[in-house]
Amino acid sequence: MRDRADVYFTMGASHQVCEDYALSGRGPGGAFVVVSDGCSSAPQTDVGARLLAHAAAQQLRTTSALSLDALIVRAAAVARHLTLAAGALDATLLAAWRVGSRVEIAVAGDGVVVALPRAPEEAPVGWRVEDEDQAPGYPAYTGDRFDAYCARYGRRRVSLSRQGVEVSRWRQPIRERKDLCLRWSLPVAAVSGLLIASDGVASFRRDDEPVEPMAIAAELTAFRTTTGAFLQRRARRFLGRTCPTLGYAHHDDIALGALLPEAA
Amino acid sequence: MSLATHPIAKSRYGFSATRVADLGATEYTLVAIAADTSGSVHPFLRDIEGCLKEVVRACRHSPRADQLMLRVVSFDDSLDEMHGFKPLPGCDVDDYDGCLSVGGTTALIDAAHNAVASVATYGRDLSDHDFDVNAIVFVITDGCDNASAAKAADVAAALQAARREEALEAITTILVGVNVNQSQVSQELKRVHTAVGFDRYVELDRADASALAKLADFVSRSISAQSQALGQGSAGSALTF
Repeated sequence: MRDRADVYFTMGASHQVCEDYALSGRGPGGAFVVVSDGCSSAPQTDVGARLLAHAAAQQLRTTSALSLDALIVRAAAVARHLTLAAGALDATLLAAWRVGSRVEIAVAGDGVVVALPRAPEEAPVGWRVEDEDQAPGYPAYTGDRFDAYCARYGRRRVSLSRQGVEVSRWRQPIRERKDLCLRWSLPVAAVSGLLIASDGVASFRRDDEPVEPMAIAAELTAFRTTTGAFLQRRARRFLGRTCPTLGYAHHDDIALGALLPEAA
Repeated sequence: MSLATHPIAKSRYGFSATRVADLGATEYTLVAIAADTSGSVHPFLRDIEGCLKEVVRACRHSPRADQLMLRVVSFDDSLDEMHGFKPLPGCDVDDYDGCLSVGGTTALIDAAHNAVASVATYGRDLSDHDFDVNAIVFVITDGCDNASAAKAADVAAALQAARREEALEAITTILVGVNVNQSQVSQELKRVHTAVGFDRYVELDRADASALAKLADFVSRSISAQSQALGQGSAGSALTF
């Protein structure tokens, strides 16, 4: 399959080191993209986010499935070897990968997913996954911190948007370990592109008012061409030229992954 | 990669360039070189070729080779595009062996106009497709214009329009006089430099292998500086010849 994939990440205005990360690759079923967003209040999550993303990519390069438990075990082993601080792996993980005629999506923590329709008459569909207490359920909580997390947080909600307008919202609480990772899939026949993004896309403000993240996602997916670094070009142009013109500024780091599956 | 042809408004000459949809990088420095091949160049034509080859060889070794696109045109009383804008990794040094042939008179202003208009037009196209772009133009001649349809004011207008439009983050233009050993030729090229608004005029009083090797070094270093400046909002720093 000649799927196309590209990633982009950049630091937010309020950060001194970028704790977001993204990478792309190719697995047995086609291309994949992975995004990770390190927790700002935990130490060394810039490294932890990268470890998580690489552990996920290692799986996706050889299998068509993503096992949260297995990748946490592997990333934790490396973190221990590097004597990273406890909590370094407190980072979200979003992934999209092709398996045959479908694109699989996994979101552990928070973030945004946008599906671009193949049919020109249809509208893009967006999912925003967030926690009501701003305490996303990180994959690292699958270990011995899970019960403590669930006792206090775990009130995840998902909102669905069409063409940038929210059409529904529901709660999807985290009660069991398997709930940490929200999974769904979409048919390649209906989807020409998929964007996964860290919650940095929800940090844009204009005149101190928040900018709707789906409006940001719409700009970021307005690809002019789709060869090579197509997402990097779009993101750089949007952030470098459009945002200053519109008066938009983002304080949080941003990580993006775009997958354009070739029609079957 | 296939090249598409583009017209240039109010000119009989156009240019060709790699199709935008085939390009994969995020940014490019466009390099246009126009080399004089009028009759008087005959004694050192192969050295001019050697200069081109050395520029290509140096740029291919640049860490930013993937972000460079080169177009080469020769001119006597008409323009001949050796190749349109294409990424440096696609430029084979051996392709420049025997690439130039000596012709008639000197359409210096037409060549300068075409070089400037080509980077401006293609730069706009690239910018419209989210690529960050800057450009550097070299016009290499050994004599005065005596065959152009365009005027120096036309080149100046094209240059000003390119700068005003801001599709190109920066554009640097350099006029190079080679084998300039008559004061009246030197004065005329300096007048062209001023009338057109070239950023620099570089003069070599000889055109032997050593002088042209030095020119090749200057050209390739200037290209590298321009490429490294991309993203900073300004042109590459002016280098010593």
